[in-house]
Amino acid sequence: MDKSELRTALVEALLPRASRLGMERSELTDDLDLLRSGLLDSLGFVDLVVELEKRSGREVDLMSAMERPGGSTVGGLIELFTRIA
Amino acid sequence: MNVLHPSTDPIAVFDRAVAVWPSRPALDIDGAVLSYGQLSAAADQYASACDATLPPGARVALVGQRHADTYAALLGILRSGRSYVPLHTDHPPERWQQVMQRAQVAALFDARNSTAFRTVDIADPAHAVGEAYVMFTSGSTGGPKGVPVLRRHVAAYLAHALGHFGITERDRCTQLFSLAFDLSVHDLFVTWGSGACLCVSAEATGLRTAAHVQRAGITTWFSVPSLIDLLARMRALPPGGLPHLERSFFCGEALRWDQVQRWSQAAINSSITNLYGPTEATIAVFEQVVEPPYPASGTVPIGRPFAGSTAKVNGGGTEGELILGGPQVTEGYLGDPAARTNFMRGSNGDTMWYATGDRVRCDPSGIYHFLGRMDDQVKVQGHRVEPSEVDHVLHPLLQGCTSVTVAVDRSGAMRLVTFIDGPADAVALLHALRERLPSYMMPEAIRVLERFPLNPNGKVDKRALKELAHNG
Repeated sequence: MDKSELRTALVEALLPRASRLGMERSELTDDLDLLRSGLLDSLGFVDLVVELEKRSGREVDLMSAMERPGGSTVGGLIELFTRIA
Repeated sequence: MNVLHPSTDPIAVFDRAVAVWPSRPALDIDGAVLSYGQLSAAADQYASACDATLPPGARVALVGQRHADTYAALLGILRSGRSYVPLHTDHPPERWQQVMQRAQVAALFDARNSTAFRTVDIADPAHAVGEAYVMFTSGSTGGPKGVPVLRRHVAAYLAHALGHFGITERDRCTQLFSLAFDLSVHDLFVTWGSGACLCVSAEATGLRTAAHVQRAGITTWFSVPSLIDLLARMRALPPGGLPHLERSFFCGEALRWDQVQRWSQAAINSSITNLYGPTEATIAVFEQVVEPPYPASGTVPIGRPFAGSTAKVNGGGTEGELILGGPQVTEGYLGDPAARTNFMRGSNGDTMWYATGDRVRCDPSGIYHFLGRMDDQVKVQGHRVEPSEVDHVLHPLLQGCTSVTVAVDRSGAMRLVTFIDGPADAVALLHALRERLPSYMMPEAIRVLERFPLNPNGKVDKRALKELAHNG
């Protein structure tokens, strides 16, 4: 999966929850922090990562990803899945 | 300065450690370490600032930022004879305002903005001599409910914890609980009362916990059980992965045996203790140390009450509502006499009793088992949530309609769903709720029905609503 495919998959996965909270697709920008915004709780975040792992066929190191600044933003997640291992 | 005795005041427990271990590490925030002597000196500055600017016995709102100044200010407030009212960093400003007004705080401390106490313009500040803190929990009558906890209540908890939990000055302890959660009082004062080091991560949200524990060389763990599920789902609990842990405590929600299994396989050298207690009875009053072999399913008993505390089942049978009595039971809720019905003073005039609303069974060996709630209260990641509080917040926003919020279990995690019996803009309402409620109290959805399902008695059928919520 390339960046734009990942972004699409991520947005599709987030949209149901986002729309129930009254957020629009256009608000799901790269700098949106999924945890701080209240869009996801910790368990929801992990479930999202697992879902993306299934779709992309890649396993990521979530622990070290969380250590990086911006690790829980939309952009941070895309970066996590697309950077060269 | 007053001479305090450790049996009556948590600050005396800290002071004793300062005297015995002045140069040992007391606080480690992501590698920046303060010794007991340094932390005490910083606390002294805050105590002097309190004395200079605030009336005696005042309450001070304290934003629970994981910052050295926050911990020093908390100690300074207590050392000066005042009481702290923690504010959760993630809660919306409107809720902070409610909490500050209800607690009649005289000042606000927010380490993010300033290291000074900012006085609050209030007509009638509280005079709370002998109080340690006020913790706010979800209230079924709308708005957060304050539980004032006196120093002697905390001292009674510490007397048990310091005598039985086996923590020493060589230990390094977690500080995972928000300061706005009374289990953080265990983190701070059991650690400091033992001369151990409190290890804080400024960004220690659930997801960052595993790396922090490895890096900080933690020996003593304390968290809600649901953190085990989170770490397991993150693949952060490999077999033998937490070998440095020597003891683990869990509290805040029911601990399941499958969680114990998972934890014991990672923390292979750690004891495991299940603690139980409501905020109204100060941190925890029951304990159960678990030993293998562990059952495959079900929940761990809450065990037996601490020596000095008393438990009984309402009505005198072996199953029913748990009533707690003893030196940790607080005196009632803040400024809300109507809600004191679950507090009773014993016939001797000294002992307070508190009806917990928790349903328990006492087995023939005297071990208590948690069965559930008498009411609708649920735990969301360890936070007490009264679903009806959401409805109270919604009420003024609904024009002529009614809302009913129910909790549903989504593969082990509790979520709220709100139903409304008439036309409403669910999106606008969710926006409004976000400004008023903490994130863990936010409904995952608002659903509009033409009318509520009713049970044979003509009341709203919450069971039917839960099924609706569960199925979509």
